[in-house]
Amino acid sequence: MSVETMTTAKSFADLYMAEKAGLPGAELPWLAVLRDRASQRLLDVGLPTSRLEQWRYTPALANRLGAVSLAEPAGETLPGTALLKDAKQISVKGGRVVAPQDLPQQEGVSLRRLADLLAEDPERARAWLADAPDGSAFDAINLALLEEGLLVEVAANLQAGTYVIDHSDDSGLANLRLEISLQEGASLTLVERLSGAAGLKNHIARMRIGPGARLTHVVLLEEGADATQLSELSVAVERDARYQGYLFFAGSGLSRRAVDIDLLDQGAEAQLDGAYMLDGRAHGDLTSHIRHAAPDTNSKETVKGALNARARQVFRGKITVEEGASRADGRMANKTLLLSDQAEIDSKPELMIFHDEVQCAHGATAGKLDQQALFYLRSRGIPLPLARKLLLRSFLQETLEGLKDEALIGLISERLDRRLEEIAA
Amino acid sequence: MLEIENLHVTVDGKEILKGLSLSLPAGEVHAIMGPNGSGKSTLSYLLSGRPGYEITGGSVRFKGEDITEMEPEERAAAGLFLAFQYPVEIPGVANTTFLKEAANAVRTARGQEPYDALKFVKLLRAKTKELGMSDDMLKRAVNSGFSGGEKKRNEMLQMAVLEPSLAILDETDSGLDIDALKTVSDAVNAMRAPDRTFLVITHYQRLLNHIVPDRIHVLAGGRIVRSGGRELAEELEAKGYGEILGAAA
Repeated sequence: MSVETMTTAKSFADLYMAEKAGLPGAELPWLAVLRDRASQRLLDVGLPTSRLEQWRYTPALANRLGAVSLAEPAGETLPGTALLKDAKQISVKGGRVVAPQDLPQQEGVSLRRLADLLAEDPERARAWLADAPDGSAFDAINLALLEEGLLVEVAANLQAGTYVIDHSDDSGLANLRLEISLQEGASLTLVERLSGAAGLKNHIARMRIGPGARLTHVVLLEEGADATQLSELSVAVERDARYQGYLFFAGSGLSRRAVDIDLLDQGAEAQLDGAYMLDGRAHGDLTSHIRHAAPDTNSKETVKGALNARARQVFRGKITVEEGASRADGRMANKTLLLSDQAEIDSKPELMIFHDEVQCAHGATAGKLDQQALFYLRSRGIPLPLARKLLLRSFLQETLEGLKDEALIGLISERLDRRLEEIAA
Repeated sequence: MLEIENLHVTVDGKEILKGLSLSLPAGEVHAIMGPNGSGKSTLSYLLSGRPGYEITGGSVRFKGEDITEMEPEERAAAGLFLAFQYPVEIPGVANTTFLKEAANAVRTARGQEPYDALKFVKLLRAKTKELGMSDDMLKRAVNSGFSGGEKKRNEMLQMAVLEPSLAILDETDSGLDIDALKTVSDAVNAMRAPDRTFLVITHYQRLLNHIVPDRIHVLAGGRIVRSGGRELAEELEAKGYGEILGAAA
């Protein structure tokens, strides 16, 4: 690749200089300072390379991203097809919310866009966007060039139902920042869907789950082979609260998802499950860190992969049990089926335990489809592709077991079936 | 139905079948008996198309056609069925799903209408009742956590649904109690028909009291060394393989 298309931190900083006058809140001095600082921080740290331990197994982005520009604003956009019945859906395109014209209204749910918040409640916006001095390069890019964000606050004890964020972009850089806050005893289901042929989606999300609250969070990654998806999520789980995450990864040429979950108080729980179904030369990296910072905290992570062709999956899972976290229970499993000789999994589960009297377990396995089972199915007349699909389906089924909502299970199951037909063919 | 001539088969470079010949006419039940390691399972796996078996000589014709190059699923569609000695557990795939996918794949390949869901459930209910299986076994994952007897009943259920022309029963009696043995035998006997052939592989005469064969063959050292009527089973039971093989050698 020629030198001109090498992407560096400077490419993004230059883009920021060119675009800054047109970004939301450009007239707000405090925001300009924040954005300038983020851009400078980006130049200081540079884009991550495989020399960084956290990026060790993921190839350099410099040759991949090409010339950077912001995603083209979408023209007139019709609302996308509803992903789920009875859910409130928000469509993002061209890096901005395009539908519905007015955000869904619900009593007890405060849902605000970045631009509205900057105009109506700059103090809240300021707290939200406060610079993270130790944030990553992509956190800095996100802040410097941020065009869109959504802030969702759910009132105490409200069962808020399901919200869908459908982000579809085919080119350019689309930054999105998300903040979710559930008050005591509230519950919310959030489904994020990412699609589009190419471009770089750069998401930064922060979620706080108040005492006794429940957040179910499903991510459907269905982008094309030329698309790149980077995201960083941090979740704070308070007393007796629960985070339930599901990752359905069936696309993107390159995706990297960093998830940090802090179990902050007694009885906090987290479950993070995922199915990676990668084909072609797709690369999918999940780097997770679950921290048990209080007694009686529970975590369970089950990530499975079905990798075809030259696909490569990276699983880095870390569980930390802090001092004093008595009876903490952390379980982590990463299992992979390699469907071709050239597919690859790099799996690195890690436990850091600073307290006795805890239960932790981790395991990683990789193998091929069970040849005995495959033959058994074929001997009953089931053609090879269908036999493969049935076995892959049964392998991935375990990842769905944490979900309780039938509509969500249906949504994911249907996608699993469709994706496995492609992979097993 | 099935004509095997001078068949030589190698597994991992080792010759297991050494010139086996066998002819199974339509509508008959034949039994193969033989000591451990004589090649009984190799024969059944080879016929059903399991990978890893290399034919170094001879021929296998099923309904007049050479099947040796056919995929396992093509053989099943052509009407060949193997009841496994050790049915495979497949966690996560519901038995009903498995049975329906199998039946409809085979029916489609044979140019028959696939079953509609309702009709298929009715068929399954009737067959499971005949086999003394609980409905629960249809909902559970294929063979997962099934007892030995339940697995063998499930093999018979598959056979009933797939309606093969040639069914090979590989030590279907192993691990069965007397009641299960009777149920399984009844299932086979109920399916006996002029256009259907059975090849029953067993160690024991016991099964052959229930499924009465037209002919019995003794397989030893990779070849059929003796064939005869059902009285051969009694002779084997009385004398053991040693004496018979000594006489044949």
